[in-house]
Amino acid sequence: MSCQDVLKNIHDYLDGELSASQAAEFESHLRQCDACRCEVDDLSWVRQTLAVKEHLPAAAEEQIWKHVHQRLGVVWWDWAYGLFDDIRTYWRDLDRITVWTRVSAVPVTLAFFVSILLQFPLVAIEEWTYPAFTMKRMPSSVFSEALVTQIQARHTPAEIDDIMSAAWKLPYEDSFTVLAQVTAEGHAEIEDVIEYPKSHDLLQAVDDTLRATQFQTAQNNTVKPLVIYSFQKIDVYSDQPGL
Amino acid sequence: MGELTGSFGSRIGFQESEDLVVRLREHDEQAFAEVFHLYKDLVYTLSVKLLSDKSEAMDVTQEVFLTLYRKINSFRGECSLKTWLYRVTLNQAANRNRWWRRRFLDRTESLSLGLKDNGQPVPDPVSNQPRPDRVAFAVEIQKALQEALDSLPFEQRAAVLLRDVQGLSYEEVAEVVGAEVGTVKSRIARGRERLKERLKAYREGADL
Repeated sequence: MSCQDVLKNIHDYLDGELSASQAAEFESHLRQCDACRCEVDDLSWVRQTLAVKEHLPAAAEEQIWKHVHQRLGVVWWDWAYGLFDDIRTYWRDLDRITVWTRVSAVPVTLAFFVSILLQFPLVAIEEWTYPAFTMKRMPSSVFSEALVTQIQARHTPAEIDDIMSAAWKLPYEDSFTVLAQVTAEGHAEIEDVIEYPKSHDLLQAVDDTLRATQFQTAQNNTVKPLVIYSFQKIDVYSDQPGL
Repeated sequence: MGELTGSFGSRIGFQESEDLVVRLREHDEQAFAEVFHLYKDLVYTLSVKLLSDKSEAMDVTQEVFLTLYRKINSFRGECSLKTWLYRVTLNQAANRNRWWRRRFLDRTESLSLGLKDNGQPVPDPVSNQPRPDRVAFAVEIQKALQEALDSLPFEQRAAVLLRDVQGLSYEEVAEVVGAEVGTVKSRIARGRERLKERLKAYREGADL
């Protein structure tokens, strides 16, 4: 038996798990090798030192027995304490990362977050905005989103599409809201700016776009249509600086 | 009840437990007292070495026997009563072994291994029994051992204590901690190696 074998089997030897022949071989090596004998001696010493038994002090024993005796048979307290103990064990096991608590932690966590989310009921956007308003969403990438709010009742879908495509082409990351009036010529002019964009150029570009767009509803003189033009664009065209 | 230690004691304990469990299920107080006297020292020794705090260990001992009374109906007899009690003890000790406790508890005070500031042994405040047999060096070694034990991960500490202090076989330890025998073996080996390293200085002193 080599030193390596001895070190490998050292704990089995100490615990008496080796067969008689293996143990004899082990011991014959120990007689020849000081280093291995030292190793075995050290570990046996640790075991002996550990093996000191404690005795429950008599006074404490009496006290514990008294406490235990007092609490025997008190049903509600047992039940409450048992529940507390189970919860405590559950949280402790989360800390110790045992498999079953890991698995059960998933639904518990999900249920927790769902219960929070349920406090905020989902409301369709049409329900809380004025019914005449509809929201149209541009086809967007993960990097960009454009929203155009329009008074649907006063424009044909084609007009709205025109405005939205014009807005979509604007090379800015910005937002604004303007109130525009359709003129007698069928174009539109900005009447009031409710929310200014950061860039003056963008406002100018929108104004140009509105002036260049031909609105079908201008033919109908009985109404003076309004355009509420709200635009939010988060996009970066690095290859198109400025207009 | 006399001192029942070692394999003889555990064998007696196992034989008795068949009848005891039936009586415990009926909440027979006499049976309960018998179990308490039979296993209190085993439970207390394991707790005190796991937690290195005598008052905590007493609390754990109390909780273990209360749990025995409360949950005896969930004990299905798949293992011996002793194994089950060890399992409950480990569970209770682990609950009290939270990281904040290990981190912030001042061990030199909580150990209460009978040392004054000047290193002289003092009588145990709970038992009031003098300890003439404890020389300063032995106390010092026990203190160092307890500190070394504290530095082990809980699983390793539990495995080493169950094997070397309680004298359980590898299979019994595996049953108590709910792990494979191979895992238990490696925990014991690693635990002992670390204890040996930590206690090297005392070992040299002990030879003198």
